[in-house]
Amino acid sequence: MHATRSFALFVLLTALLLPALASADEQKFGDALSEDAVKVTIDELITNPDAWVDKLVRVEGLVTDVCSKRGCWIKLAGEKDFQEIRFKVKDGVMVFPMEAKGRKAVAEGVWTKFELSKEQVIERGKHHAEEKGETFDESTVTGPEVHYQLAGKGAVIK
Amino acid sequence: MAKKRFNWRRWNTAIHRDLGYFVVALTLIYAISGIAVNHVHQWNPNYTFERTSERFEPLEITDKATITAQLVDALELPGPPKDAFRRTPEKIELFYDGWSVQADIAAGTATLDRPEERPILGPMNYLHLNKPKGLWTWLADLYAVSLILLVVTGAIMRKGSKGMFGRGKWFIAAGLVVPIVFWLL
Repeated sequence: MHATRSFALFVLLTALLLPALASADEQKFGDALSEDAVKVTIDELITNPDAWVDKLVRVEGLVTDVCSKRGCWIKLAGEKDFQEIRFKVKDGVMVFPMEAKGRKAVAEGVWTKFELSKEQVIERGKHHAEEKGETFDESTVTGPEVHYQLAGKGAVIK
Repeated sequence: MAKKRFNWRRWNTAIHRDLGYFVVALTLIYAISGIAVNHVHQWNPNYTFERTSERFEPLEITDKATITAQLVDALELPGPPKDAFRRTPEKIELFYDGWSVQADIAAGTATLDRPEERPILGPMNYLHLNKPKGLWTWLADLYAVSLILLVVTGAIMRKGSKGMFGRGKWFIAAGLVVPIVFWLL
């Protein structure tokens, strides 16, 4: 009798868990997309970055890269060549899978500006290279840099 | 008829034993994944990468569509990609389902990159890092409460010299010293 009850409990818990493990075609991450966000193109963010600093924006683009170790950032490209922005979240808040690469995404966040010293640029370069298992050539850094990225609130990978 | 006295120690042992059995799987998942993600600086706990390098005759730098078509031919890829992105005039990435090709058309080099989720660790990390969110968050909380219960029922299980107030207190104190030392350092 006890064994039957324990087994029934196990089956119930498993049944509860399964939907949580199932993956959908469209994957949602973080907060639901908000009505307050301003829809903007990646081209506009890159062309006029300072105009959007600290504003909640929503962009749509192609996922061109994913943080393979922690899933804590994705890169999004717009319609034009050579234009890519980084959508960064705190570790664990959203975890993007590698399978997102090459898919379309709608992402929402606060456009954020960072003024980095040369040392910080080198540190960032080393960190990114380490994440990809590559080496970083410090000589490619010529001086301080201004860096912009989306501080992620929510995203939908299509 | 004498009233039967409530035997809390028996209940304590039963809770500790059966709850312990119940959380075996979850404890292994969290512990193994914990070790794996602790060393994220040294390895990739989620994916392995199958990477192959290819060489081809350098291509002329033109528009994305032309470069993509020429690259598909040059590398004998299985048809046009789902999408493509030019990172620089020379560098382009072609995206297929679950894999991609990064090419430098000026240098005539390409890397075919196919990430594969680690078969056992991948799903363990998926749960440990709370990727499912929603219901899993509550279940993970329930698991954490279960661990607290296990600790409490374990600590008070024995009485006498081998109990918590016997030698147990020294083990508890030693276990407390370790995090305090690391916190103060």
